[in-house]
Amino acid sequence: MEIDLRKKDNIVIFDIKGEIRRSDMGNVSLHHIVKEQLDSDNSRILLNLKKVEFIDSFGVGEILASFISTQDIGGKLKLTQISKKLHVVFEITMLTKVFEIFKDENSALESFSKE
Amino acid sequence: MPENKLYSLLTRVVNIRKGEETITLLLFSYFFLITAPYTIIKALRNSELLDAYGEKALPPAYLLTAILTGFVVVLHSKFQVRISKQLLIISSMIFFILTGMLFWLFFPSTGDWLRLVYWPWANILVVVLMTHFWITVNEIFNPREARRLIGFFGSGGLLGGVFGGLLVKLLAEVISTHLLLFAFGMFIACIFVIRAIFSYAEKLPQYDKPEKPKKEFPNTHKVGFIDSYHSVRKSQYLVLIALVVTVSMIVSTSIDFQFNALVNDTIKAKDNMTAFYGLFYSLLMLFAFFLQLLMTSNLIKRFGIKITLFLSPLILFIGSIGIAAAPLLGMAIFLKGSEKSLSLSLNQSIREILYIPVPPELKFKAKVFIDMFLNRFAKGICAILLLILTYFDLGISYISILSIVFLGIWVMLNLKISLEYVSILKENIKIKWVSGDKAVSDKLDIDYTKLVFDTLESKNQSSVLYALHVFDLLQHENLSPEVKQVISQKSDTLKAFSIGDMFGAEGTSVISEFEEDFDKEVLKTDINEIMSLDAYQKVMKIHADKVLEKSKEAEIEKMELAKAIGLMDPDSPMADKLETLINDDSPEVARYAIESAAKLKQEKFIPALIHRLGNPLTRGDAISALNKFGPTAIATMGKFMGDSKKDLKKRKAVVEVLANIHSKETVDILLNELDKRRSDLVTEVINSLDKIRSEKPNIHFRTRVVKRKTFLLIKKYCRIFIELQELSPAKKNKELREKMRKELSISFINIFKLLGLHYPHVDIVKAYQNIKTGTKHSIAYAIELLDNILKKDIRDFVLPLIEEHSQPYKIKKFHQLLKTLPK
Repeated sequence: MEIDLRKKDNIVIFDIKGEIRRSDMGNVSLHHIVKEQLDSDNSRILLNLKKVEFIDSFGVGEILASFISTQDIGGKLKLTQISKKLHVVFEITMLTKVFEIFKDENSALESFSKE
Repeated sequence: MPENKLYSLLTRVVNIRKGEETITLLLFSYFFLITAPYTIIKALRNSELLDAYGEKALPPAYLLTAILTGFVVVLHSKFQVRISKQLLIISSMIFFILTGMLFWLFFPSTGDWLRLVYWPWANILVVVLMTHFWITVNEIFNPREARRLIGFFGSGGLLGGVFGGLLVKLLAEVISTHLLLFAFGMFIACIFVIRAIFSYAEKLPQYDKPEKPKKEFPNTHKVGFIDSYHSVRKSQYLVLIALVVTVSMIVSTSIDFQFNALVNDTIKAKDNMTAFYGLFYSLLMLFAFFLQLLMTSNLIKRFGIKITLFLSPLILFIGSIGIAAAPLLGMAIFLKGSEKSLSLSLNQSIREILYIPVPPELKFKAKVFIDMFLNRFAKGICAILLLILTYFDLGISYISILSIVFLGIWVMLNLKISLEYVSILKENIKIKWVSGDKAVSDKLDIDYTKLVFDTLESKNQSSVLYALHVFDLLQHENLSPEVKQVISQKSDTLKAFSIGDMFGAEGTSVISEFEEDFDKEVLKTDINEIMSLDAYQKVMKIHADKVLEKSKEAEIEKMELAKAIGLMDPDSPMADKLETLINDDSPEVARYAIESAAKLKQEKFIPALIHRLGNPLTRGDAISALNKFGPTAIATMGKFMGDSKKDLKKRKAVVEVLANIHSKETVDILLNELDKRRSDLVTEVINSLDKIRSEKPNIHFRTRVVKRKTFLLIKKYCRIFIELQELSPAKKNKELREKMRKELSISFINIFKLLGLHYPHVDIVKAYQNIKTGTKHSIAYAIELLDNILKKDIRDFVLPLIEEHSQPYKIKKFHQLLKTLPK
């Protein structure tokens, strides 16, 4: 898994590439990077999953832990460009009830600005 | 005067912020310019009426005032719907100047009846002008600002009273009713001040209103007398304010009657009487001025609204007992002096504070009804009671008893309103966000979600692993058809499916096959029976030994083994293999073993699970497993957490686990850690205690430890703040500055979390969230709430951290706090 960070309108966008799975996790986890951003007062986070091919239960745990940490400080973590396949699994497991998921980056960014 | 000079001058007498100096001075002048003329008008009012009719005319005069005020309020309501507040205020002022001129013109030439008309006119004047003044204050300042500056505005009014009273004392015998011309001159000057106030207010930054009207205080666009009445009636809190105002006004009128009757009995000549009133009101205002300046704010700050509410009734109770026993002018001067000076200083400030939680639009409506109408209506009620008492020739002592009865009612109402005040404050601020755990757990079963993902992945790993997952899934009662469908997809299909083809697919359904061929319960029993067979255990042990001997290439087999052990009996020989599997190098193997350990719940696995907390790849699974152990794991985890030689990461994770075991034992273990002189787990322990408190509000937290830590954190906050301000802005300090800012932020939230352990958790969470991210209004409400719910020993140290002040002031204040904080 590779993560590139960029900032737009005070929102930190995580461009994630590859598979979010236990076996692919390097020294630093997704949750750890999210926490670093929260510590730097960046509490609006968008995970761009366009190039994510697979997520295992560990990956789901990482995204949920990131969501919980963000929510705890009154921030927002949203998802965008999730593949159809993953979206179905997210729907079935009711993850769509927890996460705000947007089709494209612009509508996600817009939703942040409306809050 | 340059603004900076004006600011530094004003800061010596009032707690003022930059940018408030001009508007504060204007409002001070506004109040001065209405009370000075009113004191003149009032002195003439009393002496003219008493000279013409004696004290027997007072009750009818009170009654007439009450009736006429009713009409004025209705008229006022009609105007306030149609015209702006500024126009309403200025035109009222012009109306009183013009009608006052008529009194001045006709006083010398008409009979005594004009004195009877002059009385209610003077009373209506003061009600209208005072109400307009306080509406203007509320229009410009938010509750906290108003509370901070009320003392200063009040002083302006009192100085006006002193000035007006002295004018009367000095000039009454020389020019008598011509004094009215001075009064009208000041009113004209006041019009210019009002104009300047509204022009200035228009330039102020947009004043943020509360986010939504509260149910308790519905917001409507119609403003009229009936609407004002209904708004008050619908709110229990406003009804209480209305009752307090009514009762206090009845007491005030009764005291006024006693005072005037004794003045009329003792001083005979009209101009002497006018001069007496002038001197009396002047000295009274001077006394009230010092009371306001030196005591009001301090009393409210020191004792809070709850206690100060009772000060006035108590003093008046003593005075009334005195006058009932000895109805002399001296006693009447004491009683009237106490009543009026307290009413103008302490009571006025308290009443304005009581209006703080009322939304601005409703406050305007309520003030018109309560301060204008009800105030005078109460006078009317008292007038009727006085008429009855004087009809039966009952003397001053009996009237004092009337006051004492109403003072008793006043005390009871104060008791009720002090409780209601805090609950209304609480209603006015809302939770801004729920905790992350709650946001997730309310909508999601995390274990189930992960199981679905694992099942999907296992399809590509091994058929055994897949079958084991499917078996696990079948145990879930709410297995939806969609889940069955997605699980039943062939692995290659799954990799490429889309929404359309997934639900339309006719792939082989493993689950359907399971469901068709087997009963779930029967399947479970069969598997349990097989797994508990000695022969099975022996064969599987051989298989397990072989697998465990292999290294990485047997990862899938180890995973299967680890998962399968979770289905066996905790005492089965195979369960012994689990510890090895938990410690396996492969995180995938380890997590299946961790899950199985959580199912078997054998204490012997706890150390291995704690060890797994150190690896980020298995940390989450180990936390989840230890949570499932519940209270049985508390002692081992507590010991591990308390051992500072152990790995810090693991100790922090243990604290996280303890947060999910909501018991008194956990709380005590965590508090012991918090109470240590040096602990590297402070934030983690506070977070966990906060979580337990939010889940189980009934668990008792040792207040001594919590308070001690709160004071230590406040000290830390003050020190970091001071050091940060003293740090040079050089580039080399950038990193250090950032670090200190983070520490400040962490200390701040930790202080609140600790407060939440021994004060109502929801209230503290609301206060914190609104202070951090609220509007100017909600921040003000949050601080006001803390001001009312925190006990004095902690409030005096917490509020300075929150309240908005200039940096030099904060540094000075924090130095003071560091000196005074308990050791």
